[in-house]
Amino acid sequence: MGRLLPGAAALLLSTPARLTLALSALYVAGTLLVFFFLNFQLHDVLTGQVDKALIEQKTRLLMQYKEGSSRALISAIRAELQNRGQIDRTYRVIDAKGLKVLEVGDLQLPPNLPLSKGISEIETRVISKEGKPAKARYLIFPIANQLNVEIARSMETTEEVMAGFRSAFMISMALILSLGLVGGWLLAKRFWRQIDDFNQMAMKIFNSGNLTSRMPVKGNDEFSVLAKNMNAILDKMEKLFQGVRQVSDNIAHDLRSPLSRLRVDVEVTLQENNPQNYRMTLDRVLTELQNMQDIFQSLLSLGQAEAGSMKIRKKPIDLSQLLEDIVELYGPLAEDKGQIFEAHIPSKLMIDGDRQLLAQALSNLLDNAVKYVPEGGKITLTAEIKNDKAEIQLDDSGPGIPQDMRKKVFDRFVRVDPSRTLPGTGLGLSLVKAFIELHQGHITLSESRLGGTLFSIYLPLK
Amino acid sequence: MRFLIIEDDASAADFLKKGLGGFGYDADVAHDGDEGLTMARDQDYDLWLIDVMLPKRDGLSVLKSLRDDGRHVPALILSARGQVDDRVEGLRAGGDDYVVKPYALAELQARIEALLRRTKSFDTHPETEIVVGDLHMDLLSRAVTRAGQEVFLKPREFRLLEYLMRHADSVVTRTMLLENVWDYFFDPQTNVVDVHISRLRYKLDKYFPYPMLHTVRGSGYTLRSTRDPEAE
Repeated sequence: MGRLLPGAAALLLSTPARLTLALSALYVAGTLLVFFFLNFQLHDVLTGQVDKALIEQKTRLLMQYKEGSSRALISAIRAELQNRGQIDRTYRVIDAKGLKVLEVGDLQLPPNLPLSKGISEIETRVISKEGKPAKARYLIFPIANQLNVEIARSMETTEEVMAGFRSAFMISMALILSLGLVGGWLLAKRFWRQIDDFNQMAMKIFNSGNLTSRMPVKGNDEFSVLAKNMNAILDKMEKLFQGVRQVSDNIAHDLRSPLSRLRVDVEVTLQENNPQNYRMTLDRVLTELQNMQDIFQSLLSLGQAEAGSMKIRKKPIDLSQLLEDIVELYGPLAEDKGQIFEAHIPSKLMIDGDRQLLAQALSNLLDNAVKYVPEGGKITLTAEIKNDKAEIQLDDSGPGIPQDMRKKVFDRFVRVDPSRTLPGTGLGLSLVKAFIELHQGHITLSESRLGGTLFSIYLPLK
Repeated sequence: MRFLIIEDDASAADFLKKGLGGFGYDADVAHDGDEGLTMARDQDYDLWLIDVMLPKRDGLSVLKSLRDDGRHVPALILSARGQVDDRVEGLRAGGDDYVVKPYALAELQARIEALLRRTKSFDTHPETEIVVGDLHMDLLSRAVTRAGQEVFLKPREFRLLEYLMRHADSVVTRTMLLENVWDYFFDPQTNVVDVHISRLRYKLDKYFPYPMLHTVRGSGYTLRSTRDPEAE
């Protein structure tokens, strides 16, 4: 019998916990992909803005130079720095001999910037911030083959925006991840508790063999449906076991009595030691054995029918024909006993059923009727369709069954005739009921129109 | 006549052997499925009596193997399982009849005789007429005459008489009649069959010098082809 591991270990191994972890991992992987993509895009956009500004400056400076001279250029540079108050950049102008004409700005550039056609990136230091390193984008362009102008712009702002983006992203991801994990954990716990309830119950039933325990049914979710279904199984099992117990009680009762009679009879005969009596005793033994065999066979059929282990061979059958056959079998018997036996059976009542079992059920009822109805009495067998079912009524003018016995007659070993003068096992009606119920039908006992016993059988039509 | 009993319960087999001896049949006993299969293959028997639940190899599989060999010896299955399905399974495995334990010896004897008779008339042409003594049954026109006088029968009485005539001079039991004439595999508590027999007997014997249809006490009935002064 399996049992869940106790505590956290079990929780971690539980299906929802594992699902939560797997989903979280998937979420993290997906989010990281998104993060790298956004990071790349954002960096691209921000760098593009810096580069655009560099090219605009180059255009402006070229225009200044065309209008004036190198002097005008230098004053334009100074003006640009002062006017805008922007110190995140450095301008350097170098003449044809390689001498530095001008270097202004907050970025400390290396003495020789590597030459490049377009815009490149380089490590610089920010002078106003005690030489803090910073990345910069720079552009070198010649003017009239005399001067080389170098413009560099710091990437600090871009870096700050990127850092802000990164931390915001990470924090939100951590938040969502922890929410997911906590939620998953709680879900796992709830799930685990319910499964554990089921397992505890199963173990309890397994260990004690007591089938009266039931699963608690809470709410309306799939667990409650499962609990209900398991309870239904337990109901059925309990009923079956009760049936088995009752059968063994009955066997003990109704087979022990004839057994003890047999034993005494045989022992007394042996004691008397009179060979002339042997034959008589053996005859009695044989009769008693036949009786026990009948009881045994009935009990077996009953047990199998009620436990559902009887192999029932349902086929489409003509109930009308089946009834006609039974009437034909019993008609002469009733006639010989001076009883009036009438049957009204419509043709072609089709049902799904086992001919043998239904015939046996009807034969049991007719056995009783013929046995108890006095000479000159009446037995009627009618069939009709009522509420989509085949209704078979067997009525008689016999002594009937007293009101207080009517509920009990279908129980095992209940006999209406207390003196038990007529032969019978007391199992006939139980068998009838069990066989009818195997066909999803039912049988009732009600007020007879003829003053005796009225059995009504209802069977689903095909 | 020699039979083979395949039955693992030694004392049951012994009693059965003795019982069959009382009817004039010799029998060998095999105590498990393998032994039974070997004996049935090695020797010629007139009938096999096979228990279903056997050690080593169950009775139905023994029977199936023997039938697969092409052996047509009549087989009677003796089984503790009595549901209709078990019976169908037994007959499908090649059994010719199926008797549920515990059985009455008289029942067994009657069924054995019916089986032996069936195999005797195995390869005759399809009959159109059955004759027993001065009783004639025309299977085509469904007319019955005794000593030339027509006997009028209801359809069920016709089937009942046909079965009795096919088993003339041997005993048929009530159970055999219920199974073969009415197709019922259960025993009603009352002797319904007796009444049908007495009606048939009235039509068959009443107006004739001697009776043909006799009751065999404790067993069943028999239709005698010849006059039996002792039974009159």
